Amino acid sequence: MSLAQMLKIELFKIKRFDFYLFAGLYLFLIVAIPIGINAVFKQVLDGSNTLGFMHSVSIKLMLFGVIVAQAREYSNDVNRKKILNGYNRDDLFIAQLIIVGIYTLTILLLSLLAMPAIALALGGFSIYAQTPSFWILGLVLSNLSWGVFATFLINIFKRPLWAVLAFLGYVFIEFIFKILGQFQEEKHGWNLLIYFSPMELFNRLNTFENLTLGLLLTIVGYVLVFQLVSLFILKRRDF
Amino acid sequence: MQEIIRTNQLTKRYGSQLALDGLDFTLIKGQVLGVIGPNGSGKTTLFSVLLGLRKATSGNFSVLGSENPEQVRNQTGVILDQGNFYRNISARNNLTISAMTKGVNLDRVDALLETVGLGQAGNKKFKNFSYGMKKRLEVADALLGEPEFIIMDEPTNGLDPEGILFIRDLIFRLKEGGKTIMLSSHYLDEVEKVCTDFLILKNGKKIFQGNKADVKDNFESLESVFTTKL
Repeated sequence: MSLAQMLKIELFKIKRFDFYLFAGLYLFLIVAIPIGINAVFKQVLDGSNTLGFMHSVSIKLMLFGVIVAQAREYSNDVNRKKILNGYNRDDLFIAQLIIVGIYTLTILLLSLLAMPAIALALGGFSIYAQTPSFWILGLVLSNLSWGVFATFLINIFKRPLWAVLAFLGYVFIEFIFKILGQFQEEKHGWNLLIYFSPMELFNRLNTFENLTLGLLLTIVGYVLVFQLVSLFILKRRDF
Repeated sequence: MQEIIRTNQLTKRYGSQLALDGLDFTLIKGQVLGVIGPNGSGKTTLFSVLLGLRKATSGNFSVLGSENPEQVRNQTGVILDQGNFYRNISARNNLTISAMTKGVNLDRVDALLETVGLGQAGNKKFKNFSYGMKKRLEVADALLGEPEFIIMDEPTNGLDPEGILFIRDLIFRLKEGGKTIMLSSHYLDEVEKVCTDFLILKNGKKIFQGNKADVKDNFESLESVFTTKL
């Protein structure tokens, strides 16, 4: 199948309630909460706080949105139908990447739409004066990485509930590591494990804060591992 | 005579369980081959391997002259048990997605919905369909690409008499149109009515292959082949 054909199909399928909910919820949260805090607590958030919040909301919705979208292909053996209708196993992998791309693009467009609205409500565009360089690029790369991770989870577990539980399990383990790390020096033991954990590094992409070339390569390595495992599963799985 | 399917020592193993055991058979253009056998005899596994959904453990096969089923997808139609459609999408949109995948003109979607008697139910979500409606949608999907060769796994299973007559009529029409069909069923009388040839499997092995004349010459009926051989 051609890439254009697959893109057309994914765009046709996206017109669904869960996608509108994902997009609507994201837009509502990133606009309403900073403006609400400003109005209720009379506390003016600066640009980096607002954008940091935007990033934090985006990656969480990205994870759950992509898990739901990718899981749909596994429900009722739809992937089997796709193979029978002309997809090969590489196409299934590419179609998954297209879904991640569409969700990331949606996050980007909604963020760009929300930024002026928030600025106008909070006192002008000057609030973004301290915005880190390449913030938009960071938002895109960070969300792409989270989307790839969500896809990896759904390829392993097939069902959304299991994928979400696995993610929450991971978050819990990370939390325990963080607690254990409090009793150690900063760059030792548990702290070091947290420092190199994929989620921690994906989040840092947002501002490129303290990202050395080595850490960037580590992130690329994580993304490649998640992708290759997904491809391997799709190539080997009986449908 | 054009061979549609040829298998050579086709074997599929799930762990220690042998689902297909060195299966050899051929299917010739225009035949309607009924694959019959008890539960666990390997019918569905055979279809899955021929369709490229499962990989054979050993042996080889060709479908429409190709050893890779993916290369002949647009000439192959498949009717599986209940239809693997998106549950929360309407029948029309599900069929549209299939048409886009197969590269078929989207005008065929509504025409086929009418053909299978789902013209009025096109906007209904798949999850709200009855079993018979799901089967009809599966038929429409299989016929979208005007395939040369059609595989039907238990096509009449669970259908009411009207549904059974619909499938029977469909098979006759496809046969008249020169299509080649391979179907599995537990209903021997139904298989006897619509099929020209028969393949009986037991524990993944072929125990009989022949046409109606072979059955008539050597046995009282298809049922007696079944009971004698198994």
